[in-house]
Amino acid sequence: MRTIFKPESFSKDSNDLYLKAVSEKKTSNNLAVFANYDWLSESHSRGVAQIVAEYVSSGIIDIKPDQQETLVRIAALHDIGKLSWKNVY
Amino acid sequence: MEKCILDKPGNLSKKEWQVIENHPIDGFHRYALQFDPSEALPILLHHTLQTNYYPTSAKMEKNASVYDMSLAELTDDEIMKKAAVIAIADNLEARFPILSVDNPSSHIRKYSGRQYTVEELPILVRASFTEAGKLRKLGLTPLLDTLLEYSNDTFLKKQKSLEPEEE
Repeated sequence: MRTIFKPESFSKDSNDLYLKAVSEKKTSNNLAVFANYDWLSESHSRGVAQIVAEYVSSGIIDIKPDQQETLVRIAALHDIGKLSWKNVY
Repeated sequence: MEKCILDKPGNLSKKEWQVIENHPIDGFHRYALQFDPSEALPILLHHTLQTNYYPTSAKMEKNASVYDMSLAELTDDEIMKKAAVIAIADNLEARFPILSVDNPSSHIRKYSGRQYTVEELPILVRASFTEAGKLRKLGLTPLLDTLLEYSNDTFLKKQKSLEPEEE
């Protein structure tokens, strides 16, 4: 059984970056993708996105400021190809 | 992708493996449909830096060409860097779930004294796919130390939980 995501264990900077990257697009009406994203967002992909956010905000990875949010969003959606099509559209 | 493939405990059949190999391509197109296609390239590339990489260069080129993108754009340094960062985090999370670590920030920030070059990142990806013992032979850059710390910490906890209790 996987551990439940614990946002409080990540830095505020990375958490803010993660939430900005994901929630902004989550509210978009055209994103049917996110409506079916819960099983991913609470497990592996959310963990990957949070690690990437941590890398970026801590300065380990040198990514241009205007690309940081995009990178975290891509990380959150990197396995979106594993969702079956019928569940997405 | 069927959940039974993702959750299958044993070896995958050839057909099932083909489905797995296709997920970066599927993911690339789905992201490209919703956002800027050029942003989606790291998704297409995120399994190409590992030893048993996929998809093939030919498949990547064919799928990128749907959006008028060339092979040169696929191998752009910034794109590769993003793909490498995701690959490292992907592998780390899959093998040693970050969410089970008590304080990930402190582990990562402890080693935040330097940044990594584009050339170093693919090495880190490959290293993160190897066993912990092999990682030690690779010079132990700070990020590798971090990976080790995660893996050792998680591994030791798992080992301890499996040990019989002393009477």
